[in-house]
Amino acid sequence: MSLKKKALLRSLWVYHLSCGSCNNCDIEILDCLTPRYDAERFGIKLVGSIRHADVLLVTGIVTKQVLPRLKRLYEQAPKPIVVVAVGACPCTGGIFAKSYNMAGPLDKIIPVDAYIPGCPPKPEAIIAAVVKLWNKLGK
Amino acid sequence: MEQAGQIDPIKDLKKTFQDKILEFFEKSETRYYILIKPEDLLEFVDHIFNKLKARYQIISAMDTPKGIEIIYHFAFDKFGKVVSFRTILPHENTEIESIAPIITGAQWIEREIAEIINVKFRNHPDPRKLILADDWPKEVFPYRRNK
Amino acid sequence: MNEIFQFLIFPGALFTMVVGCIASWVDRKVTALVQWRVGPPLLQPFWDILKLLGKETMVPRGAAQWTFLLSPMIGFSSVILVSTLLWRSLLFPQTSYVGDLIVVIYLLTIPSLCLVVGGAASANPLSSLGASREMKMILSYELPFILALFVPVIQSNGAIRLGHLVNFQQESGLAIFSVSGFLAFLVAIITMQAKLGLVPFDAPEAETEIIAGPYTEYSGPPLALFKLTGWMLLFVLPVFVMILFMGGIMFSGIHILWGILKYVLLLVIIIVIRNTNPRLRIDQAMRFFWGKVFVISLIAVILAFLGL
Repeated sequence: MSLKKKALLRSLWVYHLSCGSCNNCDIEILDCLTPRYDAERFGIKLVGSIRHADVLLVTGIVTKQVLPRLKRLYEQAPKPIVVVAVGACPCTGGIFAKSYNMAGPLDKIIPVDAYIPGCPPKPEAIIAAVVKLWNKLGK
Repeated sequence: MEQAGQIDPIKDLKKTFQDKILEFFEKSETRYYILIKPEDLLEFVDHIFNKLKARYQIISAMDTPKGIEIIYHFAFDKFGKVVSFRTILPHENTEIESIAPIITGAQWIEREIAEIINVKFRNHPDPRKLILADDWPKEVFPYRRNK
Repeated sequence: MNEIFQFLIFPGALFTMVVGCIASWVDRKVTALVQWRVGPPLLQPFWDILKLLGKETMVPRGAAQWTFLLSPMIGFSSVILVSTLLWRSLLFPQTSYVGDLIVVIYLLTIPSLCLVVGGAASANPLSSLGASREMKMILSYELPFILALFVPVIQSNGAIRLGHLVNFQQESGLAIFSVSGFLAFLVAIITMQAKLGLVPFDAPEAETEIIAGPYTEYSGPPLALFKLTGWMLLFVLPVFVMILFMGGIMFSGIHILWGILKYVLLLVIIIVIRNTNPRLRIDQAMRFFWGKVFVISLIAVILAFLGL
């Protein structure tokens, strides 16, 4: 593994974006950063600016109103960036799949690297997905 | 508040509006549905909100075969009862008085209903669009069932 | 040739970078332990910098390009200069010259100024807000800082040489053991906290309010330089305060251990203040510095003139 990729995997800075979610997945993501699950021991930190981010965590079906903003944010993120779809909504639309306001599941808009199903997924599921992402990126 | 606490609100409503209640349905001890005519809406809301001191909850709207049904939900927390006023508007003419001048908290839900199911609320203080996307086509109403 | 080695390797760039990263790790680990967490591993700051060096640099459209990219570099190099000067005066006291204290004070304002310039050069309203807050903070804490630095100078009969200050303290008692010296030490700790941009004075980079303040539009290597500058300041500023108030470090036998313990004590004070205080609003911080802290530093200077 090259040094650049190893450094990326050991210090993942996470940017959380809610694209029209009901906020339950956002609460579960917040749980992962609390002392009980402590993501900082793996170098994972929550950052506020998209320009500092290595991982874009997207929750929520992508509504028509947020669609141009999501595209702009993806372009503003410095590459290499990893996109993770958290929850059933960005994966397939969840229970809102036939909604009038739906602008497509996430992978129709930006390339996605990991999908975490669940409504909402437990913090253990989110951590398991992060481990699988590490293994996938490490190749 | 003390006066409202000693009156049984359901009995009071039945007594005050005996002739205006079209249908009174007691679904359970805590849940009441009262069918009224759209013209009497403001009277009912004024009485239940200002005199009986109920807590305004929300307004819900549905597209049914009979017409557009709008339901106003009020709660009496001391008694643990919820009273809902139902009105049915005919499909051809969906207009009704807005209760926002009486209850300020009803402004946003009426804006949403106007946008999504195309009901005109007369005398609404701020009839702007609320939740649909900026590029949503104007005459498409998502919750109307067009057969 | 010797000077270039001193600037680049020891005690300049490389030494300061490594120790600064370790100091920032100590900060994060102690914060994590206070919050009942396990903190990051020891090498975490190094991985952070390596990762940032591998990301792309993006300059926002409408930003002043040269200013945007140069300001982290200027801040970075000035911190390296300060560290070299301070350690040279500790290790080879004969190389300090008249007025190098003033040079160090000037150089120490440059990282904050570079942050202001960098934040103002990114075409982002949040960055400008952070830059203006940082400007207000600089205007507030610089005066008490300089007044507090007056006190050891007055006590050592007007020596403005770092080497002379250290020698004077080693002969006639540390500055911190006198009343005026102790008051000035307290003021220096508070302004050090503000200079480092740590809670309770981190309004310029208030994460919950203005995303990342002046750092918002930075990505990749310029961000790495800014972060390294902040971490190196965590090493350089306590050493500076040590030289002025606690007699520096004597490099003979047990005194090296005392020196390291003095530095660790200052670091612990910074971390404890950081973890136990809420953030002050910018107007509250300004009122605090122009009110109480300024008055205490004035009292310390007057007491030093009176010989206490």
